[in-house]
Amino acid sequence: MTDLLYLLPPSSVVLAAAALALVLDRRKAHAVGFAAVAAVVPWSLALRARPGSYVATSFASFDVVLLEVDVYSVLMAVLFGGFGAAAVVYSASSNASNTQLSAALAYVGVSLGAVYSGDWLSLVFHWELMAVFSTVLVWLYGGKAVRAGYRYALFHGVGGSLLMLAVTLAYVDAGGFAFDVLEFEGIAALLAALGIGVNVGFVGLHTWLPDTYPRPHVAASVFLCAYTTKAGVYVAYRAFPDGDVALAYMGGAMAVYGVVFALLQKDMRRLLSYHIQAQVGYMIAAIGLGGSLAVAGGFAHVFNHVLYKGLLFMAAGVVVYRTGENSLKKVSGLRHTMPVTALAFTVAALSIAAFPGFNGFVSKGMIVDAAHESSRYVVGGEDVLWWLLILGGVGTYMSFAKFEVEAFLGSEPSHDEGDANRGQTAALLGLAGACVALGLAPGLLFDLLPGGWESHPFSRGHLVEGLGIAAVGVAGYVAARPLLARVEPPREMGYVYEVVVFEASRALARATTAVYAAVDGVAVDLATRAVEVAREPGDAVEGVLPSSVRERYVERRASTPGDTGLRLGIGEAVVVTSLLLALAVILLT
Amino acid sequence: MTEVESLRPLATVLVSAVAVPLILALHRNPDFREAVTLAAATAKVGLVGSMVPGVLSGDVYVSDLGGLVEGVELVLRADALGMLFAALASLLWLFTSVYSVGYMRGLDEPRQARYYAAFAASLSATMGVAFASNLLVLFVFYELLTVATYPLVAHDETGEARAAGRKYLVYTLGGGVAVLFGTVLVYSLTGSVEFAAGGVSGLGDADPALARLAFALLVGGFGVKAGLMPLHSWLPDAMVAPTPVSGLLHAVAVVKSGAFGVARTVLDVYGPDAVASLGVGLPLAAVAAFTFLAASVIALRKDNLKRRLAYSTIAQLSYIVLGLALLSPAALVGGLLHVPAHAFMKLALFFCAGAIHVETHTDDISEMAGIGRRMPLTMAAFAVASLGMAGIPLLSGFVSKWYLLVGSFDAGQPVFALALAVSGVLNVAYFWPVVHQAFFETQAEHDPKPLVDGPRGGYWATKPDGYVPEADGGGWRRAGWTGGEASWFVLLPILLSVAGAVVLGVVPGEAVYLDLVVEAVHGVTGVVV
Repeated sequence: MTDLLYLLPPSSVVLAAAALALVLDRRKAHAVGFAAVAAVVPWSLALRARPGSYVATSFASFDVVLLEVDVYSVLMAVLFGGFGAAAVVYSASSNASNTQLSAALAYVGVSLGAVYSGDWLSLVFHWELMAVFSTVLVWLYGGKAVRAGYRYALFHGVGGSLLMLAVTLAYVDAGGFAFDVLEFEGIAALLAALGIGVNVGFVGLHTWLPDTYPRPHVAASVFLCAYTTKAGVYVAYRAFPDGDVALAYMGGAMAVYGVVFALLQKDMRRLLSYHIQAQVGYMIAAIGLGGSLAVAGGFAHVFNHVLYKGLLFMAAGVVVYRTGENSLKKVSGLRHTMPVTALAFTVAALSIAAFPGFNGFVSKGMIVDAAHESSRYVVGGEDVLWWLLILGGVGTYMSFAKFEVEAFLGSEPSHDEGDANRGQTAALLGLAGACVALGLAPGLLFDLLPGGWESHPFSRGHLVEGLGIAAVGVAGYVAARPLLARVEPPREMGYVYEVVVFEASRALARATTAVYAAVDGVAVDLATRAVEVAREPGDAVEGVLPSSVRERYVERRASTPGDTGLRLGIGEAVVVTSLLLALAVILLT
Repeated sequence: MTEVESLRPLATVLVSAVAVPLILALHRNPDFREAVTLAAATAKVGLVGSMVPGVLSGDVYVSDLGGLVEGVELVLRADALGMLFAALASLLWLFTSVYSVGYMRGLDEPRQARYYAAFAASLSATMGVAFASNLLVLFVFYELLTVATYPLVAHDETGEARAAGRKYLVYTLGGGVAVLFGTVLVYSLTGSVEFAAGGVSGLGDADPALARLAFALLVGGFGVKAGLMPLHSWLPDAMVAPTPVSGLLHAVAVVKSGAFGVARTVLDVYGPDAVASLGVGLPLAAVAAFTFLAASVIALRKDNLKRRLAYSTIAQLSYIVLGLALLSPAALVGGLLHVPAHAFMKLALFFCAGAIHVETHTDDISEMAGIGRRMPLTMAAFAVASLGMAGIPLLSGFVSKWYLLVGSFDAGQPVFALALAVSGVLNVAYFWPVVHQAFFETQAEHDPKPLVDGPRGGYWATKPDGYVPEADGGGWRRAGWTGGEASWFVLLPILLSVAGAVVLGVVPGEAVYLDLVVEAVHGVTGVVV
C-alpha cells in the first residue's frame, strides 16, 4: 500500500484537481481542491519513511527524477500543502471564480512539482510553469492587474532564462542534471544566483513584487505571496548547499531595503509585499551563511513566514473585501467592527516582527545567531550582516506598528460592513493558531528540519534581544510618525526600469524597422531599375551618359535602326569582333 | 545502414501530383474535388508512415529513376533526415487540407480548384525536396516548389497579391540561381553532388576559397526561403495569401525547404568537420542569431496579426539554422528538432489567425481586444501555442530550445545561448499581449503594443491605483463555448496542431520526430545524443 505513495509525485493530484475545477460547480471545485492540497501533507509525511529518488523517467534523451524525497523537499511540500489548504478555504469564501481557483491550484501543483524535482531539468521545467500559472492568476483580475502581470511575466521570463542558462552551462561540464552531480561554478553560479534572485527579490530584481502582489483578487494575492519567493529560497539552497558570502550580504541588504520601502507605503498589500522582500532577505542570508544552524534557521523561517505572511495577506484581504479600500489612509479603527480580523492581524504582525512567543521569533533568532558567528566585516563587535538583520527587525516593528495603528486601533471605525465571513474566519484562526503554536512549542517544527544544530529560543539572551528590538522599534515608530504621515510612497527602481525598457525597446524597434524598410526599398528599387533597363535600354543609357556625349548618342540613336542606337555597321562589327578575338587569344595563351 | 530498393519514395512524391489533374477536372464538383485532396493527403501520410519504422532501424528506401544529367542520377532516397521533413509536411498537409475546406468555403473564395491543385503540386515538390539524393535533384524540386506556390501567393489576384507574388519569385528564384551555381561549383571541386552522411569526400581538401564560396552560394540560396536576414522580406509580404497557405507553406513546407537545404548542405554535402575547418559555421551562426533578434524586435511593432506571425517565423527558422551552424551534436539535434517543434506551434497560430479572419474579418491585433470572449477555444489554442514560442515547458518549443542551449555551451559558444535566452523573453514580449488583451481587456481599455506604443507604461498607467475597469468596454460578446467559433473544419485542425505541440513537449521521446533527429545526427556525427 505504502509503495503506491511513491508511484506519482503528489503534485499530480493537485494538478488533476486544477483541471477538475474548470468543470465542477464552484462549491465542489473548492472542496476537491481542498482535499487534494490537504492530502499532500500526510502523503509527504508518509514519504519520509524511505528517502530517495523515485519516479525516475526520461524526458527527451535526458534522465529526470520527479519525486526526490529528502528532508528539504518534504518540509517544503508539507508547508505548501498545509498552507494551500488554508488558502483554498479562504478562496472559497472570498468569491473567487472557478477559473481563478483552477489557476491557483495549478500554481500550487507546479510549485509542489518544483520542490519534489530530483534534478535541475525537472526543476526548471516546473519553475517556468510556476511563472506561467502565477501570471494567469494575476491577469484574471483584469484592469491594472493585466499590465502588472505582463511586467511580471517579462521579469520572470528573464529570471527563468538565466536559470536555464546556468543549468545548461553547468550540465556541459557535469554531464548530468542530478543535484549531486551538477554544480554551479564561476559564470554558471552567477547566472544561477541572478535567475533565482529574480524569484526571491534581490535588491534591484525585486520590483515585480510590490508591483504585482497588491493588484489581483485578494484570494489570488494569498496564493501568490507564499509560493514563488519561497520556492526560490529552496532552489537557492539546492544551488548553493554550502552557502555563499555574497548571497548572505545580499540577504542582509534585502532585509533593510524591503523594510525601508515598506514603511513608506500606503497600499496595504504593497506594504506587505515589500515585507516579503525583507523577510526573504533573512532566509537568503541564512542560505548564504551556510552551516547546519543557518540552513535549519532559513528553512524554519520559510515555514513560519508562509504562515504569518499568508495570514497578513488574508487579513488585509478581508479589509479590502469588506471595505473596498486598498489604502491605509482610507481605513481606521477597524478593531471595533472587525475584531476577528484585527486579532488575526495582530498575531501575524507579532509573528513577523519576531515578538517572543510567536513563531517568527524562533526562526529569526536562529538566523541572527548564525550571523553572530560570522566575522567577515566586523563593525562594533558584530558582523555587518548581523547589524543589517537587526536593523531590518527594528524596521519591521515600525511598519507593523504603523499598519496596526492606522488600520485597526483608531477610536472611530471608518467602515461597518461586517467582519470576516465564516470561511475566512476559519482560515484566519487556523493560521493564527499555527503561528502561536509554533511560537510556543517550536519543537513541533524542529522535527521536520535538517539536523546537526542546537538552539534555545527562550534563552535569556534571546528574550532580551527580542524585547529590546521591540522596544526600539515601537519607540522608533512613535518618533517617526509625524514624518511618515507627510511622506508620499517614493518611486523607486521599478519606475526606472519602466522608463528605460519602454524607451529603449521603442527606439530599437523603430530603428530596426526603419533600417529594414530602407534596405528593402533599395532592393526593390534596384529590381525595378533592372526591369526598366531591360525594357528600355536606350533611355537607360541616355540617362547615365555625361552631357557632352549624350547629344551625340541621341543623334546616333535617332539615325541608327533599332532603338538602342548600338547596332553596328558591317565595318565596325568586323573591327570589334577582331579586337575581342585578339583579346581572348592573348588571355588564353 | 542498408539500402532498400522501393517505389515508396517515388509514390510519396507522385501521389499528390496525380491528384492535380483530378482536382482540376472536378472543378465543378467541390465535394469530390476536396475528397481527392483528402485522399491524396491520407495516402501520403500512409506512405510516409509505412517507411518510418524501417528508417528508424537504419534502412534507407531508394527509388532509382536513372540518369538525370551526365554523372548525376535522378534518385529519391528516404533517409532519416528526409523522413523528418516528409513525415512532418505530409501530416500537416492533412491537417491543412481539412482546415482549407472550412477556410475557403467560409470565405466563399473564388478559384478554389486552382488553389487545391497548386497546393497538391506544392506538396509533391516538398516531398521531392525531402527525398532528393543529391544537390541537383534537390535544386530541381526546390525550384518546382517555388513555381507551384506562386499561384497560391497571388491567389487574390489583387495588385497587392500580384506584387507580393512577383517579389516572392524574384527573391526565391534568385536564391535558386545561387543554389545552382553552388551545386556546379561543388561538382567541379569534387566530381560529385551526392549527399553522403558526414559530407562529400574531397570537399574538405578542396581549395578553401572556392569551397567557402560554394558554401556561401548554397547557404545563401537556401537562406532566402529560410528567411535569413537580409533575404527575408518576401515572407511578410507573402502573407497576403490565404491563411492555410501562410500556415502550411510559409511556416512549414516552403520555408523549411530552405532550412532543410541548409541542413543537407551542412550535414551531407560538407559535413560538420569540413564546415568547422573552413570556418564558415560561426559566421552563419552570427547571421542566424542576428536574424532572430532583429525579427523579434520588428515583430513588437507589427499590428497585423499575420505579419507579426511572419516575423516570428523568420525568427524561429533561424533557431534551426543556428543549431546547424553550431555543429555540436546537441545543437544539431536542437536545430533539427525545432523543425517539427516550430511547425506544430506556428501552424496552430496561423490557423487561429485564419479562424479569426473567417469568423470576424478582423486582421489587426489592436482590434482583437476581448476576442477571447467570442472565440474562447481558438484563443486558448493561440495562448498555448504562443507559450510554446517562448520556450515554455509542456510544449515542443521548450525541448528544442533546451537542446540548443546545451549545444551552444557544448560548442563553446555561450554568446549564442545568451541570444537564445533574450529571444525567449522577446517572444513573451510580443506574443503574450495578444493573449492577455484577448481574454482580459476590452476594446475601450487595452494596450495592443505595450512595449513600443505610448503612453509610457501603457494605457493602465494613466489610471489611479485601485481603478476598476468598466464592466462593458465594448467589443466582442460572449457567445458560449463554441457559439462564436468558426466551423469544426477550422476548429479541429487548430486543436490537432496544438495537441501535436503538446505531445512533442510532454513526451518528446515517444513521438517519432526526436528519434528521426537522433538517428540523422547519429549518422552524421556518430554520436547518439
